[in-house]
Amino acid sequence: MESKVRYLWNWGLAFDENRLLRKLESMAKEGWMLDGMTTLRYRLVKDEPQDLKYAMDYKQVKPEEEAEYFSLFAEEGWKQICSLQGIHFFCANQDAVAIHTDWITEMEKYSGYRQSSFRTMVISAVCFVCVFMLGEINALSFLGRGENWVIVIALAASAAIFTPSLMMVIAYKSYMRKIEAGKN
Amino acid sequence: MARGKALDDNQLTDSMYYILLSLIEPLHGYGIKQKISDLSNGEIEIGPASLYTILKKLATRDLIVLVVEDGERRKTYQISASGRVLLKRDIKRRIRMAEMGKNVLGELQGGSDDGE
Repeated sequence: MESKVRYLWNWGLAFDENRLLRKLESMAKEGWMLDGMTTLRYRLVKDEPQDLKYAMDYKQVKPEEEAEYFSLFAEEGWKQICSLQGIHFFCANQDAVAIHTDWITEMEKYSGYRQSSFRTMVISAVCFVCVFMLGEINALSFLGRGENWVIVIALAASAAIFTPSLMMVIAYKSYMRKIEAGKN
Repeated sequence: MARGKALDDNQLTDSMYYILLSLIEPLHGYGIKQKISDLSNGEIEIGPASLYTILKKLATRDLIVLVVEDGERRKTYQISASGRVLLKRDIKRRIRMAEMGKNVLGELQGGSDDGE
């Protein structure tokens, strides 16, 4: 029997938000509807083919404000599909008004996201430096040569978090520049 | 960022201006959108993400107040006293801007033919 569920890998929204949304739209035309998301991937389920428009908003909404936030979208025809850590996916008919009609609020969407990436970047940089310093001290005193791999792994882990968060900060900055250049 | 400070400088962004104009009577989200559409003959539309962000900003600055909360879903807002003062000032500022443009428009149209 044919599978009713498919997955799309999440390669980082910062790099391909528009490509992802267009991809979801073409999948919807084939009857694959976005149904949920995790940090790693998006889940799509099989349904009737539909001509839909997808949108993503980034907004940290307090739990008591969620009802108001989502009802404003619903009233303009945007149905909430899934949310994860301030990222919200919506779909609507082709004639729905864009979710951001104001370049200032659209910039704020990315500046909010950029701030959280920036925090991650700073924390991982601090970790990297701390581990490095510790490694220097340890090499001279209590850790034997054999235990150096602990330091190496810790350094690699902080670098692994630092690099994508730095790339994200840069990606959002360029998004914001694009919006600013295209404002009307 | 300088543009984030529009409100601090007692100026309203265009979207804020439309929303405050609509809130001289108590309205909830969709009512605001519809009234702006009516006032502008369908020319101005406000998307839900923009509307939510701006409502929160206007409320934080006490330019609008929450009137009734019917259940949890719909919140009804209305312009506050300080919102009225700011809106009046901003309407007048925009009229002056338009007057300036009108004077120049006369010259523009009287002069060369620019395909208008």
